[in-house]
Amino acid sequence: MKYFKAWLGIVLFTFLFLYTVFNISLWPGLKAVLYPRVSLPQMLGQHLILVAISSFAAVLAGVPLGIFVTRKSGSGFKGIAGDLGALSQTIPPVAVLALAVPLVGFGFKPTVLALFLYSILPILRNTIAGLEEVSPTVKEAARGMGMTQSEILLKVELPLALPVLFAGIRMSVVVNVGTATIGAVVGAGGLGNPIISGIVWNNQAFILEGAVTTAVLAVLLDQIIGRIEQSVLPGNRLLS
Amino acid sequence: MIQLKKVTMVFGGTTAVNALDLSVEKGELCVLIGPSGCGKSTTLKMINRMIIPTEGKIFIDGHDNMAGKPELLRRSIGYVIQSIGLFPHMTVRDNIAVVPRLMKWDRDRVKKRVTELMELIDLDPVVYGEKYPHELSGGEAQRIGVARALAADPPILLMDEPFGAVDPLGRLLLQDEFLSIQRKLKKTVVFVTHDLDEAIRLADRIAIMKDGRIVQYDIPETILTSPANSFVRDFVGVDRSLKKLSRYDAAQVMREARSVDIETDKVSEHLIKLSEQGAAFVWATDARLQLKGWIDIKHPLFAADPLSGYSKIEVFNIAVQREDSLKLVLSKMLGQGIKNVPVVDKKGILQGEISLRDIEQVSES
Ligand SMILES: Nc1ncnc2c1ncn2[C@@H]1O[C@H](COP(=O)(O)OP(=O)(O)OP(=O)(O)O)[C@@H](O)[C@H]1O
Ligand SMILES: [Mg+2]
Repeated sequence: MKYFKAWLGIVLFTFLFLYTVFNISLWPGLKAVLYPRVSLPQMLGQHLILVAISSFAAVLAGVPLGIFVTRKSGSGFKGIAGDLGALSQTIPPVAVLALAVPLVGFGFKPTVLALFLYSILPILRNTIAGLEEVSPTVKEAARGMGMTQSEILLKVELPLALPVLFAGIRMSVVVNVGTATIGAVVGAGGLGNPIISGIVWNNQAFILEGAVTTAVLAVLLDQIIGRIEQSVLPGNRLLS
Repeated sequence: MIQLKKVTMVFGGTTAVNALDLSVEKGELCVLIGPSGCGKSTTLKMINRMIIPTEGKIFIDGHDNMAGKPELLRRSIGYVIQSIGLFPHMTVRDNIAVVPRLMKWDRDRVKKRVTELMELIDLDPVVYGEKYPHELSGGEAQRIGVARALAADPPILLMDEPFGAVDPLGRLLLQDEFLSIQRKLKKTVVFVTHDLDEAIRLADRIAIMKDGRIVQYDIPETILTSPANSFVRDFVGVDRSLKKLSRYDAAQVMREARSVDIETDKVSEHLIKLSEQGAAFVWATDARLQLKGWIDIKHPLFAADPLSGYSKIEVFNIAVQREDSLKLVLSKMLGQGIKNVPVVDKKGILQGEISLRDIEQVSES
């Protein structure tokens, strides 16, 4: 029931949105209010796949990298990893697209690559921050109890870093949902399609269709990840 | 049994421990004490291989501690650190269960053991079992730190200022509790502290350290009565005979107390008999021996009514508990301005009495 208000907001918003978009009488001068080439669910699906694959890859790369550079053996790479992460976020995804298209072609692949690079920094940074926040005395106690390095990581460090780590993933995914609209530029589909067509044809209803759906999707995913986080964390909410 | 042979530890330029020899017998509690930075923690951590000495060897029950895996060694040695280091994401139960689980005990055995330990440290498993460390007081957390170290029943305990973060009164309680646990379990303990009273109270032997070496290693009485050199003398301080008092419990020196049950009809008769024996006063109790007050037998109206000298007392203000140290008993006497204090148990039942003379005898012996 903690999220009651959030859900209520989402439902209300969606309702208003659908009403506005489908009600052609609200849009004098427009022949169509829904992007005609691809249906909304289809675009939503494309968008979700773009986000899911790139975010998943970013977690898969960012978390282990963050773990590695906070180990003794990897501490030498911490600076470099941080710089690379920051760099990958400062290069605009559009530029990545422009550079990637000649290499891997149009469509899905360059978009996923650009989104992946753009998503990795918050995950990497929060993994490192979360692990570094674990108090040295707790780690010393773990070692003194006779835990091996991997037991310390799995039973102590990661559970304690989890809230910060999840915050990074959430942030990364939410931003990714918005950024993924650029996929439309290189023909990867998704919710960027109606937005771009809307701009080109001067059709605000198309823009609204893409933009609002994107926003709702972002909020929804944020909530869902929050739920997942709740279910994996033990009752130590006070820690976060 | 723990033996350190010519152990040296150099960190960069600083020699933290310098060719140190130390041997702790099985079942003995050895306290390491000395100024900050003298190498106490380093010595302790070399025993369970948290730190590997630059030179020298350490033997545990005759085995070189560098043989075998460090994790296995550490699981067989209980370890308590000053900052406690309870795992904040685990409940009290899970914290205590850490080592047994690392050792792959089966579920039921772990559960039983945790319950047993919580009872040992006097924390109700039902009330405290599912709490998280941030919901505990400092003293409770310290006790759980001790329980966690005892969990897999290791023969050896290393304790680095385990009660350091608790207020003085709480610390006394923890010491009492730990002493009674240690008397039961007879672990081989190396205990680091800054607090000389604590050292004298708990130690079988005290090692006084300075600059990475042991200056004197002896039983507390000897340390107090014949300090090896001026450093130890200064360290132990001037009130040496008073310090000795921390080593004794009230229960150890108390004598039988003269008392009467004021609820019987024969109380006057008893009092008169006691008066004839030359007593000056007696303690007054109820039928269950619960302390209520005292009766002045030399009261001017005694002949008329033997009970005229009866005064009620606030039992827990005047009386001491069996496990209170003599030092506390003395401070109570001085604080209340009385020469005799009654000793009671937790329920207020009269156990005996201690007089100022008894204390003088102990401190002079
Ligand atoms: N990991 C380390 N790296 C460098 N120097 C260290 C390290 N650990 C301890 N030292 C140094 O070794 C000396 C002894 O330290 P140790 O922690 O054993 O002292 P201690 O007797 O436990 O002091 P305290 O009573 O303050 O806890 C100190 O000078 C300390 O600065
Ligand atoms: Mg220390």
